Amino acid sequence: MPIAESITYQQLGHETLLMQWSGHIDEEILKSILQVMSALEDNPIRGVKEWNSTYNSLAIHFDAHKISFPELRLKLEDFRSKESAQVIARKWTLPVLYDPSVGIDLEAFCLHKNLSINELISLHTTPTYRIFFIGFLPGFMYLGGLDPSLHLPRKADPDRSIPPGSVAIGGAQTGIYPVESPGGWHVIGNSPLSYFDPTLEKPCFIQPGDEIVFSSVSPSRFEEIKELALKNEFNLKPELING
Amino acid sequence: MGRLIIQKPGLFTSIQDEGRYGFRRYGVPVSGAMDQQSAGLANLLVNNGPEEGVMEITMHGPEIQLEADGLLAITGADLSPGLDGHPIPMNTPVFFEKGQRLTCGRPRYGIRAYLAVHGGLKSPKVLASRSQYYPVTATKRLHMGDTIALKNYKNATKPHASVKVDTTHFSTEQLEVYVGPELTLLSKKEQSLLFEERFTIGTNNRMGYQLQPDADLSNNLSIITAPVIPGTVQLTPSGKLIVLMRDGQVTGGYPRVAQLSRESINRLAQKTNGETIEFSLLKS
Repeated sequence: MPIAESITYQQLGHETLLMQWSGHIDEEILKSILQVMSALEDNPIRGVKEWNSTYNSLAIHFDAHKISFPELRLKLEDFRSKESAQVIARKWTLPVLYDPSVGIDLEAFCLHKNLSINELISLHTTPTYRIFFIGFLPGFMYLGGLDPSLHLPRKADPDRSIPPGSVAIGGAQTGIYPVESPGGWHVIGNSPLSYFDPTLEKPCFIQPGDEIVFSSVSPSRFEEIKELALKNEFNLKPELING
Repeated sequence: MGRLIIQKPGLFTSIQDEGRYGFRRYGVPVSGAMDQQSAGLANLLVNNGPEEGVMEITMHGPEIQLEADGLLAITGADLSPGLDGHPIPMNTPVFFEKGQRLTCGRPRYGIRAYLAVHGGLKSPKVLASRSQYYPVTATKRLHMGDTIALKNYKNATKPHASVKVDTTHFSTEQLEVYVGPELTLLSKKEQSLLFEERFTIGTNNRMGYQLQPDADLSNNLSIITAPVIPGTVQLTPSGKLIVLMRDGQVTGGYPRVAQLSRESINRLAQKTNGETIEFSLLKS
């Protein structure tokens, strides 16, 4: 399997091992990373504290008193050589209000792209996006699959404050700001769910490997969902799919 | 149970501990005390376990009303601490009584001081840690009127520990680093510049320190977003470096040219704008 040959193992600082696949964005690489993470989850290694991933890399953080870099590397190579279980992913349908009242850049974006708001909604809601990883901010998902006609470089002057739930486009990426934050992406709408809840042991309901579709909702439905979500009464159920 | 009350918050005062581990996969930074060495010493001096929360005090310190009896220690930067106006020694356990007021004055060396109290500062834990970081904790720092629960120790035993702190921790301009994953993207000339140049500290905070070189390191390099950790040195297109610190994001798209040793992160945490540093390369 070609992917296996191009994995490197490096140490970053005292207690982090970096597994790096080849340097591009690819669903096959994501699958490979998900399999290693799944193996780590199912076969706890003494001394491994936690791990996090990006497009083509997996960082494994360990306690150097309990395991060494070479020992950890051997265990990881062992995981890679074994047949691994199919990773089950979930598909979430996320409600979004695409409206200038919540999408401060929506009209400017459409003007720039020579699209009507409805055309933009269609282009943004048609694809099934893949969650590659969470990073940059608590709960911020990196999604693959944005229609190229919606690519737009991020703002030269980032906004001081983007409200939580903001659905935005920056460069070739789209995502949701889970919390209020400065940012340079173009805000085209808002999703009323809680994408990061620090009172929960698992503060994000989504995870790498999951699929996302955006679904356009009316302003009244948006308010309804928002109310329910605030009371923890909006039950979003995913569809189960084979990763 | 006693408590302390923040009468004046100071420049940037927060509760920190060893860090928040286990949540990086959700984009949650590790946080924790910027100078882990000094924070650890503070806990040690008051007979606390290393996991206890301490107060991290930045440059202009707070005014704190102590509504309990107990034992405290202040380590890290010397910000001229005093109890009821009387100077108290650094790096030494000190008894305090209910009703006393802790204040800080003129900074003498360093930037960040650590206040530990015997029994620990019992602020709430969120996602397994007391380290303040918004949006995990409600606020990123302490404000006027905030109270923190303390245990009351009428007859605390004063530990015999008396520590002589190595002041090079604060004065050295050398930061030891390891090679970073993308160092080899730089030309040989640029690599040697990195390890010979002086860098001036610019904007800095708990998320990261900007370093400005004298030489021109501007470039067109970029990488697809990769994992980063506290101490990772990123090279930006303008040639400025960013050293990620405790609240730094867990992923980043700039080349990772070097990685600070743990000791170097602690030392950098005691520096501020205008100061200069140099990297010295460690063989890993």
